[in-house]
Amino acid sequence: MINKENYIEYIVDYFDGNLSDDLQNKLLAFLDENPECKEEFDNYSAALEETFVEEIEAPASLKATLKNIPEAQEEKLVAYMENDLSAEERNVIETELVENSEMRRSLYLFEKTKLEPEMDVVFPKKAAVKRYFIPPMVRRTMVAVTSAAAILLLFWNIVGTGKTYQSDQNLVSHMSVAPSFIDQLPVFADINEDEEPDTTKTNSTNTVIETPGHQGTEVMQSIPLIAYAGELSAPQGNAESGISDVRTEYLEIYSYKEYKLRKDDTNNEKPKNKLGTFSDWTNWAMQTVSGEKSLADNPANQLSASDVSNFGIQTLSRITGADIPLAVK
Amino acid sequence: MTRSEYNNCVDDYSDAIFRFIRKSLNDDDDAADIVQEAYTRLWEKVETVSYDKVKSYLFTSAYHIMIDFIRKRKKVVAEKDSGDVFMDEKYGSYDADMNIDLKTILDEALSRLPEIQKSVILLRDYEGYSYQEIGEVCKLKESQVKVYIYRARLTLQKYLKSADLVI
Repeated sequence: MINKENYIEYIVDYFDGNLSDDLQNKLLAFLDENPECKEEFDNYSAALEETFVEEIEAPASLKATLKNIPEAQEEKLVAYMENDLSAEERNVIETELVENSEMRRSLYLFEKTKLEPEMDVVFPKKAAVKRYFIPPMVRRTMVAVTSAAAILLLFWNIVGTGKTYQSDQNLVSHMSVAPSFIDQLPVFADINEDEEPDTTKTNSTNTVIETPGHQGTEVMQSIPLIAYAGELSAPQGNAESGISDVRTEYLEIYSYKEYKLRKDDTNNEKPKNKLGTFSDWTNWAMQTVSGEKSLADNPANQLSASDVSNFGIQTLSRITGADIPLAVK
Repeated sequence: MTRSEYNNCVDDYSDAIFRFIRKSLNDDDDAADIVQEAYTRLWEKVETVSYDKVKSYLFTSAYHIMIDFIRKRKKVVAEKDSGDVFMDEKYGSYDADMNIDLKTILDEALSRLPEIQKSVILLRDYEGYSYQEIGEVCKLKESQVKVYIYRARLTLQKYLKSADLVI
């Protein structure tokens, strides 16, 4: 007789398959009448199912089916290639590979996906990222030299365009300062330094130009963009240049000088190299040693500050490869 | 880490990092800039990074700089299903008689991978990193790395198969 004292034993026997059909029916009827006992039955059943699933042995046919699912096979092959499998699993795979040509082909393709580093490709900026120790003395010197160069450039930029340079020796090209303005300067026509210009024969925009180092005259062709009135009387500043009238005036002067210099070049009257040749320096050195000349007589003693600065800037440009926007001709 | 050790790191690892980033970006200049930035960051923390961890630090740093760079360029490769990555027009009319270089095809396939898959497979193949090491560089769990590598391999393999390159 099944009761609340012994029903657990019947439940265990039920799931073990030890109950007859009659007893099974009696147990199920008892559980229907006693819901609290039915709950026990259900819990036992659920626990048993989990155990059952873990221990179940798949039939051979099912195993074969699973083995042939492409995704499962590919995953195994990748794991095999990546050395993720145990020795036993590897043996299984290798056995399958012997038997299955399609699987071998698939593995072959997977192995082809392994990327090979291009060893000839190297990082090009190694020197740039390395760090070197610079002694404090050298560092201070570098800072000082850099500062001096910066000051020199600043000085040249400011003073080089001012009234300080009015001699023939300081012929400054301001192309980098106001190229658009230079482009619009009048184009000079014939030069005739022996004749006085006859402005009456030209239109009203022609004018006489006198510069500090040059008393000759030129006749300008007029161009529509810039109107000149009178000699060097503050031409209209170019709006694009953004520079003052005074500066504009001297830009004109120096552009004129530049033009004249080009003319001289055309006539094969190349300006003398103010720095002197190697021969000049050798001769000067020998004569200085023999007492015929002094230190002040050196071949470069006629150089102005601008010449020295220009030489320094050009040298700096050549060394650094930078296009320093100042040039002296 | 000393200055000398830092410079050794440049000699020892910069090429490998450069190759990794270059392959990911397909751009030499950008790759060089990113590697340089990674070393700059290392130098800023040179006193706190130990020498035996520096390779991982550099790869991690370069990887994240690259990801930031890609995001800024808005050129992140969209996530695709592996099945989507097949032949494009370039190889769509591929003639089996044509002798297309396997490496070229593989590079093409690699460029189509999602960024994360590309990175993990490059770290795996170029550097031989373990799943754990790749996870540290890419901030991923090992299981994620494993999945990404599997997907990448599958994509590349299917691409090769579609190109009918291999006998």
